[in-house]
Amino acid sequence: MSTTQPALAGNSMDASAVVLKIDSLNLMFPQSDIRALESASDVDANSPGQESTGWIGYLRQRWPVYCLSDQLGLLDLVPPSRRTCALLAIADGYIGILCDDVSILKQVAGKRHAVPPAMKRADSPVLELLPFGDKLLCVSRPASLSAHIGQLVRQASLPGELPCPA
Amino acid sequence: MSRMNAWLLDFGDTCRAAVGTRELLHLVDAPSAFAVPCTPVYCSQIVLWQERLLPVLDIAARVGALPATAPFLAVVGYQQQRGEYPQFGALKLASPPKQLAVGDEQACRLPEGNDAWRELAISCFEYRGEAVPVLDLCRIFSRAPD
Repeated sequence: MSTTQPALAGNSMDASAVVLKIDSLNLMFPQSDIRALESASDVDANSPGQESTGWIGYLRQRWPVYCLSDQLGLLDLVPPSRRTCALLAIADGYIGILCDDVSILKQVAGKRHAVPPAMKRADSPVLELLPFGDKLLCVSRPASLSAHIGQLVRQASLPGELPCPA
Repeated sequence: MSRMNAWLLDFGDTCRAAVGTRELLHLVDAPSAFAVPCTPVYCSQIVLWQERLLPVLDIAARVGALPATAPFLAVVGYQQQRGEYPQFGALKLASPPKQLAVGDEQACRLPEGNDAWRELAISCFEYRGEAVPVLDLCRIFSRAPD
């Protein structure tokens, strides 16, 4: 198992950030919120928890791993493009998020914008938007994404991709 | 000759509405928009315009018609209160807008059978036998999704 431990940064989003690429989505977190990057092949798919795709080991414990679409719905089947598992720190432990690629941005510059009111759901894990080159980065925090996943898991009753809560 | 005071906007699928002449600011051809997750289907994209991020609203999808194929975006401006700095948004259009001269005598009821217009329109007028809602841009772009 190859573990990368990104250097811890301050809490400011203007310090280094990590961008998880999930299909067309670029989801940005403060680098300090990402505790490890693992290969998706290290995810133990045996007996996964509810709506998760498996488990990943970290600090002698195992933590649930989720596979999301670029609409942040839960996926049952893991696309082959999800080659990396990012371990995010949350209040009571960690969660793994499968992604296609991970990039680290040093000294993120640019103006962050609020999500416009007409498109902002109260429980959305997308907290702000940041144009960056030819991309749009969706700024999030692990606690918001974890709460969103928790809500999807509770609402899960149908197979396949679960949409964002209406 | 009557003074032009409205833009007729075509959202596709026979879905049309109007805004005031001063509310439509810019027409963007072949825009490149970014999808934002966890947003309503009728307002799921953002476009970068003059260093601002504008929400892109699909009125056709909002009222239950077929979503616009949208070769154009209309950049619109509105004020939450008189004298306040304007806010901006974008509307998907199926074809370029047309200017109209609209008079008080054309006032009519909103199209029947679709309650969605009540949340989107501030008034309505008759044009060539068709009820054309006048969009309440401030309400449309300021209100959070249900």
